[in-house]
Amino acid sequence: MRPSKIAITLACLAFGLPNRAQDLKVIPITAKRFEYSPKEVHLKKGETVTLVLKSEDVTHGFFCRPLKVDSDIPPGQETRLTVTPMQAGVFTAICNHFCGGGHGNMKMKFVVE
Amino acid sequence: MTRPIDRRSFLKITGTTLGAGALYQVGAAVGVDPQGLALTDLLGRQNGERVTPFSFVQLSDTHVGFEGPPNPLGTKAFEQAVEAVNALPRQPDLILFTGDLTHDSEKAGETLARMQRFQEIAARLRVKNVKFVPGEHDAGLDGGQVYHTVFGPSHYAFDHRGVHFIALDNVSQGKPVVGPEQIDWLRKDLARFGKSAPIVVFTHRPLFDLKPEWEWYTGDGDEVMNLLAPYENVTVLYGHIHRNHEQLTGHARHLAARSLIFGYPDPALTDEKKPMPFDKGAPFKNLGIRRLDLALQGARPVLGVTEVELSSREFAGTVGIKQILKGAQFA
Repeated sequence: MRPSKIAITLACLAFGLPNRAQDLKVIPITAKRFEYSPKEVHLKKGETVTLVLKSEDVTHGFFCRPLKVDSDIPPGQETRLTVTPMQAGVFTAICNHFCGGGHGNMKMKFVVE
Repeated sequence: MTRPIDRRSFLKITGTTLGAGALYQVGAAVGVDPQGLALTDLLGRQNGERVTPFSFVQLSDTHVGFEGPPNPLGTKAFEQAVEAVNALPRQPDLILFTGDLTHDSEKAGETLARMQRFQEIAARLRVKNVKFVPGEHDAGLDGGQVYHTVFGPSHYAFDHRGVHFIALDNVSQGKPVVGPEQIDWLRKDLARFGKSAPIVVFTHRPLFDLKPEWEWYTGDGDEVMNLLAPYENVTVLYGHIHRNHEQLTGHARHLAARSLIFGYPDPALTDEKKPMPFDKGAPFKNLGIRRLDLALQGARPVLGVTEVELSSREFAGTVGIKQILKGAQFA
């Protein structure tokens, strides 16, 4: 039998463990030709966050090698990526699924402090 | 990692610059001695067809259909390049186009029209042995559907005068990948060759991490290069980055070609991936073609590389490409 979310939450509270599903910071990011919104996201080194990506038009990509993310973002659904930045710096994420004429400059920035 | 040129390398650049970086002239091929011929015969028996000297040309990123400030002249550079190749005193055996033949369009029928326009211009080449691979602007939006109709398969291999040519498609899946199916095909294709076989891979995107944040990479490029790693004489020709670049990985030398539409800056000097601005005084600045000359140095195949930047007296009042080519002494 699979433990319910409530049971996991209660167990986490009882033993002082982090309930990852609830405690992770969620960062929504929207993709549309040929930009992401927001254009810049600030993260803390070592802190795990969930990126929730949505496309408003066509399939886009989301690629940032320093953050170890590489995923498509199909329209009509949420794409959730868990990220734990391990080094400070400014990193560029790009669309790596060709989406048209302005694709080559579709990007956003992660500032890890 | 960029490494100095290895004497045993298939590809050897022995050039000197003529003019203000306008032309990279390849040194004369070394004569073939009797001992070398014997070794060449041996290599031929090992690899299949015997290697014999020939030349070929790489053209890239013509982007037929592109309109915009970085190049208001459209297909003029492509047309000029065709004339330049036709004017070569010794015609190449083969022409390779390394992708982005056309600029993408979502208007109904326009992709096909641009590919037909490309074919009209390419048909002016005197050389009729012309091979293509797609770029993402040709095949990234429709999975290569129209491209395949017009140009045929986007990955294939053939032999020419003892050199094995491999066309790889790293654009048609939308993402910068070759994909497991094509990698499996490559593994089988390479199986019949000895380790000394001269191999030329031509593709659109770099097969190594040149600048991933500018999408100058192929996600599974390492898998491709691992398959090629045992082979001693590998050259990879590609486009996409609209500028010359040279890099060694293991035995393989990777060479990026200039485009025929606009240049991109050196990523080591800027974070901004913006086309180089159009220069009315030198409209074909940063654009160019590449000629490759296969020779034998002793028994070893040596690939000489000539980089030619397009410039035009007609458009710019500067030194014309024909004048440059006439002045050069090819092997």
